[in-house]
Amino acid sequence: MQCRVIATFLLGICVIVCGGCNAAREPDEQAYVVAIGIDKSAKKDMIDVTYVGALPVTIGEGGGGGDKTKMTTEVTFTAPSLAEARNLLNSITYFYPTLSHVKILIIGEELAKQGISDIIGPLTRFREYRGTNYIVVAKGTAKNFFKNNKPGIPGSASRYYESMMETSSETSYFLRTTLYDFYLRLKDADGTSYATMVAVNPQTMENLPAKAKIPGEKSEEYYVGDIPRSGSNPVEFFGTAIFSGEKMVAMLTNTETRSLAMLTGDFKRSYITVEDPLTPKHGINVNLRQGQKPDFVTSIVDSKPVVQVTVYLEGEITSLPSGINYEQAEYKELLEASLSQITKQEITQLVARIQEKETDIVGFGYHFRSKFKKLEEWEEYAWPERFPQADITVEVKCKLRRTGLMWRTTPRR
Amino acid sequence: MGVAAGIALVFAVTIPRVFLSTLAGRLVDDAQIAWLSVVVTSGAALIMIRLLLYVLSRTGGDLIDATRQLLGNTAAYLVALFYIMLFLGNTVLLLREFAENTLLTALPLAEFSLVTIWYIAWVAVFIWFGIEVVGRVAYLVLPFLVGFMLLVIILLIPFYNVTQLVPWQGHGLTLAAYHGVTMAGVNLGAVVLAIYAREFQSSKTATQALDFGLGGALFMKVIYTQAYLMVFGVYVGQEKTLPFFEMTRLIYLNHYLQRIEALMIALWAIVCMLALAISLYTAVYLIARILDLPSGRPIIPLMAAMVATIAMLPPDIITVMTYEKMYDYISSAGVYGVPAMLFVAFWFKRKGVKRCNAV
Repeated sequence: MQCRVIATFLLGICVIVCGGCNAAREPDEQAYVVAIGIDKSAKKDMIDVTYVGALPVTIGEGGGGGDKTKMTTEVTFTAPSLAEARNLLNSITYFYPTLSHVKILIIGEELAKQGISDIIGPLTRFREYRGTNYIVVAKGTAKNFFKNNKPGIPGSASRYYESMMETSSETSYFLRTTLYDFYLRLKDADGTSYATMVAVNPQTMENLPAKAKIPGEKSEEYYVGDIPRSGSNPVEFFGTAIFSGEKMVAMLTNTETRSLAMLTGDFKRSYITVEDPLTPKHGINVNLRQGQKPDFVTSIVDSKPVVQVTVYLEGEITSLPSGINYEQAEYKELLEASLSQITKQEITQLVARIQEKETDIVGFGYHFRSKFKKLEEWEEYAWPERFPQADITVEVKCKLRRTGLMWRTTPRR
Repeated sequence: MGVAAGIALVFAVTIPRVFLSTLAGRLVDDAQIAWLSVVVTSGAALIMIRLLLYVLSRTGGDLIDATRQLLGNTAAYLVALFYIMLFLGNTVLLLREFAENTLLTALPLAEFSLVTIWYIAWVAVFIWFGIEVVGRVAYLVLPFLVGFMLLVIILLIPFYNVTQLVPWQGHGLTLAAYHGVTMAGVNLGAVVLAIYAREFQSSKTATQALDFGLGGALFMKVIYTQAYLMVFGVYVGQEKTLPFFEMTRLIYLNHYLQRIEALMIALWAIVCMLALAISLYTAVYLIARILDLPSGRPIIPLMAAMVATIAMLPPDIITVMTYEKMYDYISSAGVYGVPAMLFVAFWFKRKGVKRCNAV
C-alpha cells in the first residue's frame, strides 16, 4: 500500500512537471524569423540587421484588402551586434522573437568584402542558429534584396528559401551553401569559403555577358543580376561569392560556378548548349551529369604541389537540330570530345582565376593532406601560400550515355 | 545478474562521455589519431579489469572480499574508500555536465538548480530498487541506444569528408598512446563488474560482460570519433561543447526529415540517468559494505543531496571540464593501481589462497 501511495505521488509530480507548462510557448506567441540580412551600416562599427518574419497564412489569406501573396514582413535595425538587434526586435513586437526557424542568412556585399568572421562566430555558437542554415551574399544590400523579393506565390516563406536553394541541383548555376560548410572552410586553411550570390535584377533585357564565350560554347556567362530578362520575381540566385579568409574577393559567373561544382563533386545535372562540331551554326543541347566523383592525383615535386584532376561527366542528348546522326559511334565520339574540350577549358579558366585570387575554393588542399604523416608537418607546409604556385592540370572525360527518346536522326529531305 | 545485464551496465556507464565534450577534447590532444588513444584507453582498462576478474575468480567473492583476503581489512577499507571517492566524483561530474547540457540544448529557460535536483531525485528513486533493476533497465534500453547512435552515423553520410582523417598520425603515435594510457580512467565504470562480482552467476559471466560491454562501447567510441572527425575536421571539431548534439543538428535529408536532435536529447538524457544511477548506487553500495550496513537505502537521499550540492559548486562548465580531465587521470589509478596490486598480492599468496563460495 505504501509503495502505491509513493508511486502515485511521484507520478502526480511527473504529470505536473513534465507537462511542458513551465516555460512553454505556444506557436502563436512567437515571432518566427525566417531570414536575416546583415549589411554594413552607414554608422561606424555598426551593422544593419534586417529580420524577415513569417506572416501566418491566415493573416495573408483572410480579411479584405492587403497583399494576399505577402508571406513576410521585414524590419531593419542598426545595431552593434546580432544579439542587440534581437533585443531591439523584441521591442516592436508582442511576440517572443525566435530564430530557430531561420532558413537563410544574407550578407551584404560591402560587409562581405570588409570581412565577416565577427558575424559568423556568434552564429555557430548560439543554439537558435544551425549549420544547415543557408548563407548567401547579396549584390548590393541584403535589405534591398528583401524589399524587392516578391515570390508571387502564396505559401510558406521558409519553404520558398529552402526550395530555392534545393533546386540549385537542377543547373549548378548556384550552389547550396550552408553555414556549416562556410564555417568549416573559414577555420580550415585547406579549402576556402564560398557562398551563393543573390541580387535584384533591373529587368531591362540588356545583355551584359561577363566575358567572351569559350570556343564551341553557345551560352553566354553572366554575373548575378545581369541575366537578360523581364518579368517575374526581380531577385535571382546566381553565381558564387568567393572568399579569401573572412573577406570576399571576387564573384564567379554561372558557368564558373558550374565548373566549381564539377570539381567539388557536387555537380548534379545541367543543360549545356554547344556548337554542333560539324555544323557550328547549329547548337546541340546535352543534359550533363557527374558520372563519378572527380579523381585527384596529387604529388609534391620540389616542394611544389602538382595535381592532375580528372572530371567524369555523362550526358544525354536532348536536342540535335542539325540532323546529323550523332547517335552513331563515330559522330558520338566527336561530340563527346567537343563536350570534354569545352568543359575542360571552362574548368581550367576557373582554376586559373582562383589561383590568381589565391583562394582554394575547390579544396585541392584536402587532397594533399595524405602526403603528410603528422598534422604539424602539414601545417608547416603552409598550403595557402603553396596553392597559387600549384601545377594543376584538368582532364575531362565525357560520355554520352543516352540519346533521349530518339535512337537515330534522319536528315531533312 | 546475467551476461546481458552485465554488458548493459558496463556499456551504460562507459558510453555517456560520447554525449559530452570528450570527443572534442580528444581532437585537441591527438587530432586525427584520436581513435588510437580511444583504443588504448579501452584496451588498457580491458586488460586490467580482466586481470582483476581473474584474481576474483581464484579468490572468490567480490573486490572487497578479495582485497580483505589478500591484503587485510585496512586495505579493503582503503580500496573501498578510494572507489567510493571515484564513483561519487563520477556522479558529480556527470550530473553537472548533463544538467548544463540540458539547459544548453533543451531547456534554456529552466533554473539550473531545479534541473540538477530533478535529475538526481529521479536517480535516487531509480536506485532505490537496486542494481538488478538498473541492469535490467539498461539492457532494455541498450538496443535502442545503439540503434539510434548508429542511425545518426548513417544519416550523416552526406557530410563525411574522408580527407579529414589525414594526416593520419595527427599529433603523433607516441603521444596518442601516452594519452590513451594515462586516460584509462574514463573507463573506470567497468570496475562495477568486480564490485558486484557476487551478483553474477559465475566469473565467466562477468568476464563476458566485460569483453562485450567494454568492447561494444569501444566500437561505438571509435565509430563516433571517426565520424565526428569526418564531419567537423580537427579545427572546428575542437571547438564544440557537445559533439553528439552538433552532429544530430546537422542531419538534413530533406524538407521532411530534419531537426531530429530533440529525439536524441531524450536518448542521451536516458543514458545519463543510467550512468548516474550506476555510479551513485556503486558508491552507496560500497559505503554499505565497509560500514557493514544491512542496506544502503537509508543513505541514498543523503548521498543524492550531497552529490547535487557538490555538482552545483563549480562556477562554470569550463571549470568542470578541467576537473573532469584531472578526474580521468586520478581514476586511472583505479583502473591500473588496484587491479595490479591485487594481482601481485595474489601471485605471491597464490598457494595459500582459499576460494570463497561465490564466483
